[in-house]
Amino acid sequence: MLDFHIVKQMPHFKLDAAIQASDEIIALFGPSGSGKTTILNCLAGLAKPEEGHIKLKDRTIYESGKANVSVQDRRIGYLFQDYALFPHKTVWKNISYGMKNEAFAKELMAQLNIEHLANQYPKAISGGEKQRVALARALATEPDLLLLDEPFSALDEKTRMRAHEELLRIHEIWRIPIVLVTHQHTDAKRLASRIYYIERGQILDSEAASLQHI
Amino acid sequence: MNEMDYSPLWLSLKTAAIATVFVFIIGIFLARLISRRQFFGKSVVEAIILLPLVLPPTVVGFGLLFIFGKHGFIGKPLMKYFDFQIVFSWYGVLIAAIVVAFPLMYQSAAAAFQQYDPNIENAARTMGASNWRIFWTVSFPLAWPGLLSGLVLTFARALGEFGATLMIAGYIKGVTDTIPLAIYFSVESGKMDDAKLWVAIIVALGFSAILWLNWWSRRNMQKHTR
Repeated sequence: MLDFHIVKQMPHFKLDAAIQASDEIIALFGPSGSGKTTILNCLAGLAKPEEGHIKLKDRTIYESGKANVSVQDRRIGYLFQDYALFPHKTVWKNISYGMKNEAFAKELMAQLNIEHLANQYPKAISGGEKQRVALARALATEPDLLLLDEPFSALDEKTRMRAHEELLRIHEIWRIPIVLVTHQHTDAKRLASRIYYIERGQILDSEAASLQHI
Repeated sequence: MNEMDYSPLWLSLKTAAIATVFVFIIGIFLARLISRRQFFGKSVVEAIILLPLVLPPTVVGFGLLFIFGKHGFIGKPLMKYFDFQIVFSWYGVLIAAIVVAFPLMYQSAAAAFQQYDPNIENAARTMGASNWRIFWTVSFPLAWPGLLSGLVLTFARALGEFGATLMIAGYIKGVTDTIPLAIYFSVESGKMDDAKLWVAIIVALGFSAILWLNWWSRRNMQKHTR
């Protein structure tokens, strides 16, 4: 379960967003610069809200003036827009960097069909493969929440469709809340159970979307 | 022909090596601390750090005399309480080398740490890694090519330091006579053969340092683009 209210002054507007989600995929949809990534950064602990709260599972990881759990202790997986893989480490070293359990990490690699890439460096693999490696790396930490920042933006149409299916399959197994940031409506429609439309830091509207994975 | 005294070579190498170790560690530390943060007065702090790069070495030497001289605000208490003098000693040579070489290391390190995507470090953070672990496993290896070039430049600059050294440490045979000083005073006293030898040695040292750095960078580049 995820419950947050984030208030933060941005250079050109005030970000003020409150969302409650069960173990579902929710999409934050809106134009570039509307504050979507800042919401993810606040959830992960990489940025600090000025007011509000963030509750995850049974823990309060942020509460204005009271609690602010460190990034390291939040147990949140984060898939960055450009994947941010360690370029000097092999795929396996990337995935094992924060893993809790080796057997589990290997199982994840099998699920995402990247076992054969274990000894490759990120430079030598395709965009779709990088995306799966980054996903495996984030999940290997066994997080309570997964944040995905434009995870499909660098993929071609065919790879994108396959990545959608993979994400739905992974969610089916994991059953944790996933926050997906996107400016592609098709991504949001296909993957999320609820879409939040964000502009200039405000949630303008929300709608229930795809039910195919529930 | 009189016997050649090789103490300037030993003194220069010792000074440059110790100065490099010191500058490398402090340069990396300060670059990490300052370069990616925004704070009031940052430009002023960076300008002070880089100042020795643009000032004539004699001005740097004058400044060091002002600080470490007999009446300087560090020199005076050192003399009074510890009976220790930096001026006209090897420590003066070392301090001059550190101060003039420092900006090169700071600049190289600051650029090296800004070269890669900061989210690479953030990713490690979300995976539970401590700042110390992130530094050793992510930041340092990714910045290493830039840090190494800073290291070589620092060593070369420390080895070649002349003006500030002469101002603060003077020319005392066997104590403060580094190769650049030995060249100057050999020429002044008409010992051209000695001067030629020192010039050849320092050119060879500088040349091999740059050659090695270029070779290493190319090798490293090939490794990462394979």
